Amino acid sequence: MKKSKRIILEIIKSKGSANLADIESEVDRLKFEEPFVFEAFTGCSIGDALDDMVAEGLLEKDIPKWGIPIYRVKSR
Amino acid sequence: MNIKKIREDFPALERERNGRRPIYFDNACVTLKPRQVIMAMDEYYENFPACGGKGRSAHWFSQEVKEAAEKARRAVKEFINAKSSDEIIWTKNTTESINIIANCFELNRGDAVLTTDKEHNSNLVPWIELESRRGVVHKIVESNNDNTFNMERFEEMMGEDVKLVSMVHTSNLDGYTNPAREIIKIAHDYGAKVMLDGAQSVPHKEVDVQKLDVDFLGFSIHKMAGPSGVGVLYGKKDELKKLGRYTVGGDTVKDTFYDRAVFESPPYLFEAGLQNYAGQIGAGAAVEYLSKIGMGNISKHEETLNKFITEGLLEHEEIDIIGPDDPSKRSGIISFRMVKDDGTSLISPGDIARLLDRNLNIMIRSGDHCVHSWFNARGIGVSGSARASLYIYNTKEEGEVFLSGIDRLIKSLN
Repeated sequence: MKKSKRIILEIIKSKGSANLADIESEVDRLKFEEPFVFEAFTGCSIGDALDDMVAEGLLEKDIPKWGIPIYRVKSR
Repeated sequence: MNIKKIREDFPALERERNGRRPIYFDNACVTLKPRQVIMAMDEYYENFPACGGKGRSAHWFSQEVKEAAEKARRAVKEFINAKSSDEIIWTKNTTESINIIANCFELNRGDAVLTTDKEHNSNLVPWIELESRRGVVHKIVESNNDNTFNMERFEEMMGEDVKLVSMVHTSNLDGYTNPAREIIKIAHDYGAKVMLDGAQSVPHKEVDVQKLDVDFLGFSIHKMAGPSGVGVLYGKKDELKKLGRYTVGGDTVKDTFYDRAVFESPPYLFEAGLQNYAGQIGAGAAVEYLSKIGMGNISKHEETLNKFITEGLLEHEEIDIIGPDDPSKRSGIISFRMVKDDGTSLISPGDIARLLDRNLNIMIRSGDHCVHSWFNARGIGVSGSARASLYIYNTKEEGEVFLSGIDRLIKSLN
């Protein structure tokens, strides 16, 4: 699994559930603290990565009509 | 200014998806095209799709291409009030215009280039490159807290080492227009030349290169009702003559031998190879179209709309607008974030853009708007911002729909 996806999984796990803003804010916070986060997310679209992870069965996505999509780690 | 009539010129606005018309608020990226521009380009492809330019074919079609392309160059010259058509160089876009200056303006090791802290990557990366390759010093003038230009700081940073000031005219980040005339006057007092990135100013307000006394100006036609793939580099005639060569080959020479070439003068020296004739002709039609509406009318219309949208947005305490509070200082651009009390994003700009698009056909931009450096310096490089950017065909009714969308987004969180 790509480093960026592993970090996203960790962020969502630690929060229970997260929307895109939660994940971006956390990556923004970590980006300049942890060089590996900087490297993993440079040029990476988190939105696209989340879509991939939903398609790969790693995440569940709730899409309310006007609400913000919420992501949870899929239980196995 | 009759907006209803203007809207009829833009076929893309007649489209529908899910029973709704499009609301196009991504004009800082690319504007829609009126029929007049599309028809001018079609005319090239239908009637005289041949080569033009100096020293190429002399036949019927070729002569028509040459006449139409030179007419377009004259139209652009009039549009920015250049002294001569020879001061108008066709490029691909603003990025290429700036790269020509970065590569051809004489800068030696230790010479300094001054930019602001709000430059588009187009006016940042060339200088980073020059710093690492040629030892040119890149200095950055930090903006005031409200993102306006800090004239005192600029004056402090000016010195004999500064050979070129290369600055954004109107920022694509927040719509703020730098006080170019004053900046240029000070730069000239120190013997420096000035390159303005006019990508967001020329399409939206009257830009008179003689009044500004600017040395170089770059802009993109795709942001001003014209085709993509065409840009302009304006330069004072004497300054263009001093530039080194850029891409060379066909059309940049008067004559060649096996061991040497006799080069053309500007503008042709910088227009290598077969040109984008349809694009140039479309550019001429675009500036004629805008001139008929009147640049003063366009900027006034955008300012009125920006004021209406800004007031609606600021009814929500979650909205943080980037740049000065006063919408009249932000052209047609509203760059904003939805934030929590701690300043982190409440709703991702990406989600704002996607939901407005999906539910209301409102097209805005989200991300770093090619000004990554500004966002990274503030620790929000991953989040970025949402940006609505307006143009001549946008209406107050569209602004109302946009505000209703923002309202529903915020309510959906509760």
